[in-house]
Amino acid sequence: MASVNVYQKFDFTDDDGNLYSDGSTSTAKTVGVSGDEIYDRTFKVLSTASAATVLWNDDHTTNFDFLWIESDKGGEIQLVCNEGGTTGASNLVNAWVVKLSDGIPFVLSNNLSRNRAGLADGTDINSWETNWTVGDTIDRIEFFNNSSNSKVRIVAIT
Amino acid sequence: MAFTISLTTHFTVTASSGVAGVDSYTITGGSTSTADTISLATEKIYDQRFVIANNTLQLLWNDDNNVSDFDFLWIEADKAVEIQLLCSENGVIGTGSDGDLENGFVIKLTPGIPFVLSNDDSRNRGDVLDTLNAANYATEMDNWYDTWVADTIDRIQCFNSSGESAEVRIFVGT
Repeated sequence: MASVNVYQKFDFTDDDGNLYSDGSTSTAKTVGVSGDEIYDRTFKVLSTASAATVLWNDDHTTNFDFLWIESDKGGEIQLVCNEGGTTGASNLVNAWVVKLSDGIPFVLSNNLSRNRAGLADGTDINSWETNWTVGDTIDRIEFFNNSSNSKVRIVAIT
Repeated sequence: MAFTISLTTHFTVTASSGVAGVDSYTITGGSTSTADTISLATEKIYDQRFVIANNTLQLLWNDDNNVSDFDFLWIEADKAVEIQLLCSENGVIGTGSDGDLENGFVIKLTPGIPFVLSNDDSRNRGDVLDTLNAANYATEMDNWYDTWVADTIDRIQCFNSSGESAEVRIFVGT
């Protein structure tokens, strides 16, 4: 298992007939995978769930080179980088929420992000390219949807 | 006339054999023949291509643009650059419902592999229990579904540290 073949393409035609397009459905982009591990799981998440559902963390596969998350009823995912990191250790955990649309997959081609380091001067979010620590990784992903019961598939490959 | 994006997404991977008793198999997701559709609220398009020098930060898009939000986002680079997504720019801790602390996250792009979003929805960090300290920061991150507040992405920056100039296309539709 040396690579994942990925096809992504969009088309949009405005009312003057101008076409905007990119990507391809016939020529794959390849994402190299360093290990030989696949985590492929489908969850049924009830709207009555009182807390978010952990879809994946680095206990399942230690990292990922390719990520695919798709829900039939939308919902939100939280990506966490450097779980447990602190300001004292200058590797503060960071997190982000992505809203999913029904049936439209969320795709990442690696697990790389940045932690928030030590919050040196309070303006770190605007000078992230200098102050946030490069090369840290996503290590937990959660899902939440309190409006519909959802079927969620996650595929993480390394 | 309905304005819609047609989006096709598909992957395939074949797990090799090699472990005794485990056969090779293929898994897939999505389709190359059936597209998903994303409705655009208006017919506004922002389509820009940047050449970004090495060790340079570039604003790709923000909500000062004529396209002030998005229903579809596509970013593709020919080098391994990073993007920062920012939600609730300049939002502060505040008190109770006045709290809308901004949040940001970094995604590393792989050359030639687009980063795609089908809406601009995210969450800000709320009020951090009125006090930004380590305990509240961590607690609210763990209880994000309860404490963080629905908000939108309003700025996207790109930093190129690839060692070469990078070409980056951003396409935004709303």
